Amino acid sequence: MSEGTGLVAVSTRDGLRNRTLALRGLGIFEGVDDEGLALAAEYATVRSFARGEIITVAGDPLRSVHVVIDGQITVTRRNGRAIPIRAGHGVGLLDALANETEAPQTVADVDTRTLEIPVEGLLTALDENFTLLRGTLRHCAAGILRVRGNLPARPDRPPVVHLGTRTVGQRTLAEKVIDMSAGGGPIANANVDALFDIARATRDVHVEPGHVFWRVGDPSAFTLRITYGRVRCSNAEGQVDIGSEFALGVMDAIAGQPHAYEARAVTEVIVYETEFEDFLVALESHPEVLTEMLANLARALLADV
Amino acid sequence: VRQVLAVRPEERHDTWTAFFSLFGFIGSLAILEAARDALFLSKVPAARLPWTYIAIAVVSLAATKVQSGLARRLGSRFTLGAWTLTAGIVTVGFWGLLKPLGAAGVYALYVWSGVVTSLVLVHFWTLVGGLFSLTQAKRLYGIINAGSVLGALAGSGVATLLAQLVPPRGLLLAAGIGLVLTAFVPAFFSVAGVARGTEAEEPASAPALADSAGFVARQQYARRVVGMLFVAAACLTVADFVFKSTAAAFVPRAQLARWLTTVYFALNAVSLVCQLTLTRWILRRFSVTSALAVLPVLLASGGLALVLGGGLGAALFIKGVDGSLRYSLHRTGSELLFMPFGDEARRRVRAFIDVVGQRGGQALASIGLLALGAWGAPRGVLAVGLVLLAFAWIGGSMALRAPYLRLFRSQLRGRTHDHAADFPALDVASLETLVAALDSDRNAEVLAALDVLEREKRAHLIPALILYHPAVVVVEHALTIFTRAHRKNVVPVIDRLLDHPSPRVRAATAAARSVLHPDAQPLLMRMSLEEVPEVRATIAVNLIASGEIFGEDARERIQALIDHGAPGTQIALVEAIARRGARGFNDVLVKLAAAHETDVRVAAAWAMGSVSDACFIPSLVELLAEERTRDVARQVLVGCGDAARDALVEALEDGSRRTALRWRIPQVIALFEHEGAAEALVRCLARERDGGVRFQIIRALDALVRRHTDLKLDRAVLGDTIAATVKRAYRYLDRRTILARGAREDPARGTRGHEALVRTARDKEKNAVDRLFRLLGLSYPLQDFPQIYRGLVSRHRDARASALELVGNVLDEPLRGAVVGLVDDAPDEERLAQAGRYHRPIRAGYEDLLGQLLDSNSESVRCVTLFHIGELRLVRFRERLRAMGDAQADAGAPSDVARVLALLDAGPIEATA
Repeated sequence: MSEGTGLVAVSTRDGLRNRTLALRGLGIFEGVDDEGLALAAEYATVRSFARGEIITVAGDPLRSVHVVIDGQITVTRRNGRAIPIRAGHGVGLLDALANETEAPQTVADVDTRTLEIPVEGLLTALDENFTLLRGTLRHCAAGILRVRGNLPARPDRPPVVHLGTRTVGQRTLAEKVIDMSAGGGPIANANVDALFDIARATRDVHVEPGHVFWRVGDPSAFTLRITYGRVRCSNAEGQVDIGSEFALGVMDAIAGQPHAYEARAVTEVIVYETEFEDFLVALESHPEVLTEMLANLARALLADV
Repeated sequence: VRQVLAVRPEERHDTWTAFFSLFGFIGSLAILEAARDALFLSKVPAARLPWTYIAIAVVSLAATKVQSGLARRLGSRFTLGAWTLTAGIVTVGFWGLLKPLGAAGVYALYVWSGVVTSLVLVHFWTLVGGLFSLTQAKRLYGIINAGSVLGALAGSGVATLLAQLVPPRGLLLAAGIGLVLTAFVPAFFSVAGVARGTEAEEPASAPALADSAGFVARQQYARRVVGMLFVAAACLTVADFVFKSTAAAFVPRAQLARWLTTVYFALNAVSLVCQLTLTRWILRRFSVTSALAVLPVLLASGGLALVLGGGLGAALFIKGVDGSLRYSLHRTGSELLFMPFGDEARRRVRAFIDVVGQRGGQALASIGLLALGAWGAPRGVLAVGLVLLAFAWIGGSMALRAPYLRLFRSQLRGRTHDHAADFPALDVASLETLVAALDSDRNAEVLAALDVLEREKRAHLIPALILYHPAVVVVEHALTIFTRAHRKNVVPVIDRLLDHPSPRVRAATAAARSVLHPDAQPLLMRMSLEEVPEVRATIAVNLIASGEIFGEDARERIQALIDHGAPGTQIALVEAIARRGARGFNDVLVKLAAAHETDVRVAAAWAMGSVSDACFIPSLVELLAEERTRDVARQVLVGCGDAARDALVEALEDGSRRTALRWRIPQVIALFEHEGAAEALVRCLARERDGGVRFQIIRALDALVRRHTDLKLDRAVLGDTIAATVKRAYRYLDRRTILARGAREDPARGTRGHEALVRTARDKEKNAVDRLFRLLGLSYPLQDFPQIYRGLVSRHRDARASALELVGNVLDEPLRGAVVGLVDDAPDEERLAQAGRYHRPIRAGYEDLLGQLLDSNSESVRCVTLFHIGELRLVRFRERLRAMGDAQADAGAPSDVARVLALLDAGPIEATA
């Protein structure tokens, strides 16, 4: 775990408030309620590392995550890529969320203070507090969008586009659920009850080529799951085409950001459209689905970095 | 057969290696002991036996040192093999040298057999203990120990046959050959498993006896285990002496060898039956500590019979009980006692128990027996001693329960953390931290510090100069806090902000000024100069609130803002109402709480909190359904007190309300006064039919109990809900089993719909188990079931095993068996068998089950079943589906029933294809 010889703050109740305050000011905990912050703070310990000090050794068991309070840490991934982590961001967080068991190599670039949270404590806190889970999801989704150039997939690694099977007429509830659980996507492996809750709030939409689902800057109010057709997503950073069994707008909505790309139908397109609020309501009643989604986001983010 | 089936493929190798190691060793030992006892009792008076017991204890102590050194050098597998090989060679040596050695040889043989038993078995169980978790041990030790009992049966059978043909000395050769052959079996233990065991059990330096004694002295559970096994060893020594001395007294010497081998064979046969039937049943049905009390209870009964003059019959009963249960139930149970220890602790305790517990018990009992012998005490006194020791053993077993469970809890707790209950009082150091945070270059940190200072009623410590902060959001927030705190001393600074470039700051300034220093003139002047509508709206509201604008003019201005104002203006309007807590605008806030734009609704909810009036409660309840408005609505509702709680309970009980709204309500009710909230939630739990709402009620109760550990919930309601949840979980397990079997019987059924149906059943079962553990946590608040559940779903094998053990010990039958069945990793059919009274097996074939599922209360089950019926074109359901009607059409989606009927009407699959 941490090799630091720096000052370890005593994890007393007196320090709890300070740690809560420190967490409240960090971007990753934005929107988390008091109870969630207190829960995370209970598990946290403030640690200080001198410049050049090794915080975790690559391949060691991953036992805790570090959220940088001030200073900077560099994480070196298995592929050799070095990523600087500044205040407000976490080290080892993605690994923990993705259920990785080995720590990355991390070194303090300057004198750095972190909040160290044991992995088990973090996962327990996420299980117990929805706003904490929601906040972490938001943070990961925003990260995914950043590395994908604010597009639903990286333009340099576009997904294979399948048009899918064109269906006629509206789909029944069971058909929607079975469609949603087929292929990939963030909810494919969700609890069936959660899928039904989402499917109930979902409607089939058939659009003609050229239809614009949203433009850059539109609020992320709904998500789409393409069942047939090709949709082109574009912004100033590039464009990418996507096809059936692909979910659109989920990351933007989870990240709480307006759409950063335009989504336009290239062919006739059939989608399942769900109001994000309904989507979230359905998932909030199934916290394990959100936890699994968070793990998938973390894995995707790790793969991209 | 069931025990054999319980062995998983990845466990087979080590399990069978352990089985055959024990079989060979105990089989050889049975022959050796038959020869030893016959030789000893025919040549030496039984009264000398205690001397041999003492000698065994002393020699074992020395041998333990050699054992640990050897284990370090050779590794576990080879040490076990080496000891067994040595045992074989030395035994063959006794066969050759017994005659020249005479009586001394008989003594030496007796001591040798005792020492070798101790060394080999201790090493064997240490190795096996490192290979398996507690859950595996409970499953596998039965079958491994069956090797021991089967070996004893085979060995005594061979001894009985050989006793007809050769003198007792000849049996030694057979025993020696058996041991030599067995010595090669441990080499088959898997390398990975042994490496794990070696790592766990044999560190670089073996612990000194004094270190182990220190550890045992500090650890309550270890002390009690040692104490109990010490008494058990003493009791079994006395029992053995009672039997042998009685046998020597009643059976003629010439017939002793044959009589003993026959008795041992019969006892081993009984022992095998016990091992295969009784042991597993007792260990599954009762706690380990209760199971360990069975043998002493029976020994005490035998002792009492002996006191009452039972003679050889009573002695045979004592030996029968000893022989049947010592190597089955007692051995298996004793091994399980070591499982709560960590690897290092287990090694230390085992070493200490081997020397002090086992051999010390025997030595002490032997000294007692010698003393009684010297005194010339009749056999009745011996029997009384046996009874007393048996009672002490029973007491020792029972005293293990509490520390046994505590140790498992601490193992689980080691992986998680305790929660602090509340924040401590704000101390000077924390205040310094907060005030220092106001200087942070990160806005989020400054805002956080402002919030905490206001919440802690320390707003007077916020410096007025914060209003010169470069971030608009910080200035705006500080203005709001100053207004709420009535900080009039900031007015001079505020006046400088009236020309701030940000309209939001100007609006906030106008509002703050009108509250802190009510003077209409500057505001009227400002309104005449201001061009931004949001700021004008703010000023207008403040002028209306302060009475400067009134009557029709005021009403028209407000109505225009509601009807035609841009969202930004409407937000400014409600914020202005909020900042000055202005009364008389309630209808405005209610209307804007239903505005189309979320930001307006959020602002209206905040304003409702500032104005605080019961008429806002219905609007606030509705705002709970939406994520963005939920947090503020919740805070404001809690501030409204009992009236809000009653309204929330009413909404929760109203099944016609939106489900999405009802899901949110329990968590909010839990924020009110805890006893009233708990009572209302439990009442709703008993009545609620929607599974999702029930789940949210359980979660809310969970949060309440966590915050108020002294809270008492209605156990009867919880008990009923627990029973219903267990039944539901088993029902889905049974359904899934039938579906899976149906698809195996007819692969054509394995469609997408079938997979969806199986997955639905699995998910439903999983949901039910998750809820079950939450309910158990409510019903048994001292047992920390949430932690147990986290252990059960943990990635760590030992955490899972500890959690399972706690479940098995904390709950009472029949609930215990049923709950364990739901979380056990046994095959589904075996788990179903543990349901007990909570589930009656579904007697239905595949299609009959589909028919039953059409009647399910769960819409998801019904819909997927319909889909599957359509896939399989099961026309037998056509009329039934027609009768079901079309209950789904309301959602705008096409009905599954109609879709399936259309498929069935279209004819069989071949035709439609």
